[in-house]
Amino acid sequence: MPGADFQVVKVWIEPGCIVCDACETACPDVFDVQQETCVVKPGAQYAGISAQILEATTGCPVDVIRFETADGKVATSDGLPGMEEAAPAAVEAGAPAADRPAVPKPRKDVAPDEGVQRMLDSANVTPGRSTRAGEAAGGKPAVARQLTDVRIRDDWPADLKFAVLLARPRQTLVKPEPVPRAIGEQSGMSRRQFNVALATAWGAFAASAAIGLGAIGRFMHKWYVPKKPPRFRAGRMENYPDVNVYEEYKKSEQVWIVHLPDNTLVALSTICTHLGCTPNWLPNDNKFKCPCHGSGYRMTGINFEGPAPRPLPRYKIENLNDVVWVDKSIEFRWEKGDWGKPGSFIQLV
Amino acid sequence: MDAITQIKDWINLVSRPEIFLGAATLLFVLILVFYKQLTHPAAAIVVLLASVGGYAASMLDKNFRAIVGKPDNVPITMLLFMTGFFLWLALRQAAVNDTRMERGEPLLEGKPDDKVLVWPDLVYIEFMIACVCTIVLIVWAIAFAAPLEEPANPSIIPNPSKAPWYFLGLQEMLVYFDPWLAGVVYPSLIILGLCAIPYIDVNPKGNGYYTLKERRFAIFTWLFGFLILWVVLIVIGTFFRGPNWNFFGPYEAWDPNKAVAMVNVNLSELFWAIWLHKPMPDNPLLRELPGIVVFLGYLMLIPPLALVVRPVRRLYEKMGFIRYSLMMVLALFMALMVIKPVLRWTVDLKYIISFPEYFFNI
Repeated sequence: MPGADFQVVKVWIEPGCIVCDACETACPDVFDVQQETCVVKPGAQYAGISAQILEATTGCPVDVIRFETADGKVATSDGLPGMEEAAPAAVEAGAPAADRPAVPKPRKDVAPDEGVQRMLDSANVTPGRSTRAGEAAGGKPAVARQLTDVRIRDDWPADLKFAVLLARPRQTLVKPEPVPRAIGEQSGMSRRQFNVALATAWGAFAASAAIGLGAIGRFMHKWYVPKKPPRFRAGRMENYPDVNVYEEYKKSEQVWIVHLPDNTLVALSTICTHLGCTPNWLPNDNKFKCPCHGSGYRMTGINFEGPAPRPLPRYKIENLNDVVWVDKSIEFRWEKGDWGKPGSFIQLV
Repeated sequence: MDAITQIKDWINLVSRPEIFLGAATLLFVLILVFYKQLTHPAAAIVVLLASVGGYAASMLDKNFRAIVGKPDNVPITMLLFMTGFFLWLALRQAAVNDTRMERGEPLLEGKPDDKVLVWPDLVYIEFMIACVCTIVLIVWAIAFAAPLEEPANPSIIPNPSKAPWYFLGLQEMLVYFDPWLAGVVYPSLIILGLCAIPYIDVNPKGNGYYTLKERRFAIFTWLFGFLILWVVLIVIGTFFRGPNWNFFGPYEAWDPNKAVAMVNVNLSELFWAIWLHKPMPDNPLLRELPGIVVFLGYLMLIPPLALVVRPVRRLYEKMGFIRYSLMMVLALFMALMVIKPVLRWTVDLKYIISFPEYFFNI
């Protein structure tokens, strides 16, 4: 802006500021936007920045800035009386200032919004620039509130959007001052009371935790089966005279004692090698058959049908003074070629 | 022997798993091919009346009644009829839409009055359904006793031992696959595969409207997995598996002493001992080489070889290498769920690869 041909001597702000920052942006040396309103900085020097002051004055969307020149003229947002154009920078290229009405008519391609139009009428806010059509100082704060409520629509002209944005009051976050206070000072609680409450709370927590853990421990203990020694006495040799599957130790030890046709005595595991069910001995079919997935084993323990991937393992079996002893800690597995090894069977005569 | 007994015997005969599964698959394919004729309301009413009548007539049979009437198995009957109803409902709308598309008319879903508000319309319906479900569950709990048995005893196992009905498909799979495969790999693959569907199938057709013509492959694959590999397997596990996990027809008494010859052999035994008349090699890796070759060939050769078929080739060009490979691997594992049981039933094959030394079997 070229140098101004006037001298500013006094600047003031009338009521109705909406705290929009426009003036401080235009002339930071003079205007200071605070939380509630904008103020003229105390002791600000006006010399040499008259053009900036004029720009801030004409750019104010709600038209509350005034200044007085040395020759006694009072400027409003229309500029100084007698000036051709106060703020060329703010003029729309396609809208000559002389032809511009105080309140613009809505553009043809934009649907007129009744609320916006009413607001514009009362606020004297024109697209892109504030104009002053008359004295309506009392409505100014209401304008600020209305502008906050107006939703900016996409089909508005850019300058209208800008004007509404500019006119919105600044959002400020008011933080409450933190009040430092000692424990018990304002809560009506003494140190002793606090300690008692603390001890009670922790005590209750510890007690309930102890009860819960105890219940879990009791539950686990209930199901814990004391481990039996893996070696057990499976009766006398004369208990197994014939070729057959003897199921006496199926329930207590999960072992079948089998007298095989080749006159050997073996101890077979009763746990299916597929998924661990207990197969049934079917004497008519001469086979073990699992009820869960249909695995079948021959009398020897060899798997031959169903999904079982390997034969039933045999346990160590020995004859000590005509008493049969089975040791479940030692397994003999067919797929490893263990079934011929000593200890995997008792040879009968 | 009167006519009714003859019919029952015949139904028992065709309830052998290979025939039943084959017939179910054939029926499934026929439904998808002739969906326009079969979903016509008149045809649907005939099918409904026939199945209800068949069910009611079958209830006169002592053995059928004993199996179907078990409190555990009542949901399976509901499952059967409800699956049928919802299959009809979806296919009917697809049939109408496909016909409209051919004539150039707007789709069923295109009508503006089809849309309702979430609140209150949908929420109200959901609330009423929730009330009805609660009432039904309470009545059910009172009417049918929970099937509790005596405390567990490892030496007395119920024969047959059955999982909850919704797991019977998986239990059926456990008969044909190693536990780690049927119990770990397959359930994970099912979940991961379902999660992967939106990334593999990026075809936007069929979004928001019913159609079968535009999504034949996707709908076939999905329904095959759900109807054949889940519902049919549950039905087999519930109604056809009896004592000692033997197969029984629907009108057959569950005789625990039924003698069934089911000797099965591994592929290695089939290859070395039966075909080549040689002793089994001692080295486990050499012994299982045929099975390894067959399995890896199945997974790695079929996807490229399938590209010879023109529709598959078009699919490959549309999907790209990664999507196509993922889809093929998932589809091949899915197909294995049918191939393996059929091989067990027809040629008594136990495992394709079997390392009993390392607990690894496929």
